[in-house]
This record gives sequence, structure tokens and C-alpha cells, in this order.
Amino acid sequence: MGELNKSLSLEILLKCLQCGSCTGSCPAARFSQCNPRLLAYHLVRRKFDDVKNDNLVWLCLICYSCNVRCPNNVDIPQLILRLRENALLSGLKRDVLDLYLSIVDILMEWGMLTPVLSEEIEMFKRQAGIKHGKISDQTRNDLKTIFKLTSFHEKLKMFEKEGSLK
Amino acid sequence: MNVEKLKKIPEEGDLFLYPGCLSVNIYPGIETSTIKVLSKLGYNVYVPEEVLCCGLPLFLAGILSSNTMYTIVGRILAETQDRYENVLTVCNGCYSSINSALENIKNNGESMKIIESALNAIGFTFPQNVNCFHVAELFYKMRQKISELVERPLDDLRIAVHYGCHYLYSHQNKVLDSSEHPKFLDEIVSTLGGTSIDYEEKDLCCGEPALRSIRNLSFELARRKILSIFEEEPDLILVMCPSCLRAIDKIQFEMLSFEEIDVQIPVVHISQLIGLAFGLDPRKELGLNLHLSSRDLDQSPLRKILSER
Ligand code: SF4
Ligand code: SF4
Repeated sequence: MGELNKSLSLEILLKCLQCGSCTGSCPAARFSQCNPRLLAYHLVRRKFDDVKNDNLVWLCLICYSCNVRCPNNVDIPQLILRLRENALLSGLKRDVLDLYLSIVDILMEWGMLTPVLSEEIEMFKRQAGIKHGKISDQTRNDLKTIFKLTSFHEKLKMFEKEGSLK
Repeated sequence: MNVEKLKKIPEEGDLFLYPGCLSVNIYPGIETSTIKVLSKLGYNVYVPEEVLCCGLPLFLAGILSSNTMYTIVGRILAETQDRYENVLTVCNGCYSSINSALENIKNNGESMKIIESALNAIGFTFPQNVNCFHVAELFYKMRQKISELVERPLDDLRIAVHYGCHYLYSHQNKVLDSSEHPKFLDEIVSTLGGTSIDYEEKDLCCGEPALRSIRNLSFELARRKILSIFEEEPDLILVMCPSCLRAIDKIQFEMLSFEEIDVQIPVVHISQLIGLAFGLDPRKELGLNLHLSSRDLDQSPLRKILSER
């Protein structure tokens, strides 16, 4: 975790001008404490605890507006994704983790993140001749293999949740 | 205008349509209308039998790594089997993940090795010569032909257009015209006989990509968006992404139940809008009654064009 944060700090230190264009363009900042400039500031000053506990990391919409408007092309969304991953791995944000792992279960069943929710939709699909439903066992196994070979399983072990995909 | 890109969009022939999650099980009318409209335009549309999620929502949450997501995208694209060169999406999210995965082929050696070997292990390879377009981009290119096929002009319909961040900002250099002042959807609206109206928060994010654990922020964003749209009293809201559709559809229902608004304005996907103009059946073919904001079509502002038939 320390190593990752250090490399993030360096990346930002080299590029961020603290101009605030990112926060100025951030839709989340208009309605919450989200503040990409401040996040960059914390990282540069190596105030990792501020970053870690900060809602900044979780309020971002990953909408890429800041990235488009930053004069020096700092990739804030990418940074936030790495910080999220980091926070999940270190056991912070248990609630977020549990929520998303339950969505992984749906993915394994349907291949999609959205099951059919109503009889009405079922009927529409039938009448329109749309056949996409749950995925086949073969495709499910493909997904499992992909997860294994791209290290998602190792991550699940760290999340203590690998059972659901075995 | 991104002339290079526009040139590459095919005007006929075979298309591989990747529907994505939300347009299959939540708003299936997006899939049916897309297939119908593309067929009317003369394309030969192939839809894979199984639909896999591209993984983007889990990637944005910090759960899936980019390598895992790109490999899933590779598995999806492998179904093109060298027969289809042009992949179409109906979703800004899928558009973003597929284009990122395609860019990754060129950029990143180490990552591609992992992806290729995972794909090989399940008997697939990452297709090398695939273009990915958003269906709205293709509609823009085909607007002349579209205008000739209009049977139910959207005359007198005032339409509020929303583009969506993941189309405009995730691949800025791939935007069809301009990420700061996009116009192509508005132009399609005029082609169909409708009027695109301006509103204060046209650029504002719909709020949907917010983590599901942070409901408040999503709610506030979508609410601001809707209030700004309502000020202009439109008949219809147009989106090009099922996720944006869901945000703008759901918020109205919530605000209705809080008695903050007392009518709803139908939200439709660009494929459904063109389907409407082509005279398709709003329920059986376009599935508009499956949207919260247009469950009761005869009471909605759409009755203006529907009752004439
Ligand atoms: S816009 Fe870029 S340079 Fe300016 S504060 Fe934000 S990250 Fe730093
Ligand atoms: S990506 Fe996140 S930090 Fe950047 S503008 Fe969007 S919400 Fe704000």
C-alpha cells in the first residue's frame, strides 16, 4: 500500500499545478465534498491518512471531466481507481466491497449485472424474440478462467471471498 | 467534425451489434429498436446469442482490474470471428470499455501478454481489426437516409438532449464532433422533425455512475438535471446510453413520489426515437411502456404524435 501511494504521489507531484480546473469542472464537487484538486494536494504532501479516510475517493463518478479539463493532463480518474482498489484491498470500505461482491455473484449467474426483474420484461423479450438469458456453463467456465488468469482470484482471496467463484 | 472517424463508419453491410447488460434486461426496447432501425436502414445485423457484461461497472468500483475487463471485452469481440469488422454499441459505458481495450492492443505489451494468454486458455484470440462505433454516430452519418424513412415525423416535439460523460470525456479524441459543444444528436433530432431545446444543465452528469453505495450524490445530480430540464417544459428527453436513461428515468419516479413534480417526461434512447419516427409500435417494438417515465403512454406528451395514427 505504501509503495503504491508513493508512486501516485510522485506522478502527481511532477504534473499537478494545483490550478483547480479539475474541481471547477467536477460535477460531484457541486453536490458533495468531492475535490480532485485537494486529493492531489494530499497525495503530494503524502498525507496518506487523509486520502485513505477521505470520502474523496468514493464520491468520484469517474466521469473524466477533470481529465479533459486539466491543463497538464493529470489522470485523476485513474488515480482514484487505484486508490479505490487499494482501500478495498486493505479492508477499508467493507460495505462497498460486500455490495460489489454480491454483484459479482449476479455476473456469474447471468453473465450480466442485471437480472430480469419483472414478468412484464420477460414477456416483452419473449414476444420480441430476444433470447439472451443466463449464460451457458461453458461461458461461465470461460469467465472463471479469465478471472483466474488475470489475477482476479488472488484479489478475491485478499477479499476473503474466493469461495463464491470456485 | 471528426472527419476521419465519420469516413470509417459503414453505410451498408454487416454489423456486429453488442447490446450490453441494461439494454437486454432492464430496457429491452433499446435492443429491439436498434435491430429494427438498423435493418430498415439496410444493414445486415448480427447479434451474439449470449450477452456478457463488459465489466466496466465493476472496474469503476475498483473491483476488477483493467486486464480482467479487457480480457472480458476480448472474449466478447472474439465472437466477431473475423467476419465482422464493425462493432456497434448502444451504451456509452460499453463504448468506453471496448475502445479502451482496443487502444490497449497498441499500447501495452505486458498487459496484452496477460490478456492474450487468458484468452488463448479458453480458445479465443483478441481480434486485431475491429472498429467500435456508438450506434448514435452511425445514425448521424445516415441522417439523410433516415429522413427519407420517416413515417411519423416528430413535428412539434420539444426534445431535451443529453449526451453522457463516458461518451464525451472518456475518449475525447474519438468524439464525433466536439466534446465541449457536441451537436450531432441535436442534428438527428431536427432530421426527424423535432426541436432540440437548450437547458441550463445540458452538460451535467446524470449521476448514474456514482457508486451504488453513495445514493445521495446520484440523487442530487439527477435531481438538478431534471429540474433544469423541466424548466424548459420539453415533451421528451433523449439519451444515447441505457445508464443515463436509467438515472433520468428513475429520478423522476422518485421525485414524483416525493411530490416534487407531478408529471413525468418520457426518456428515450436514440434508437427508440428513430423507431418512433419510423412509425414502429411504441409498446411492442420499442418497449417504451417499460420505462418508468412512459408507463402510461396515452397520458404522456408522446400522445401528440401517437394519436394521429
Ligand atoms: S486540473 Fe490538473 S493541474 Fe490543475 S489542480 Fe487539477 S490535477 Fe492539478
Ligand atoms: S472523474 Fe471524479 S473527480 Fe474527476 S470530474 Fe468526474 S467526478 Fe470529479
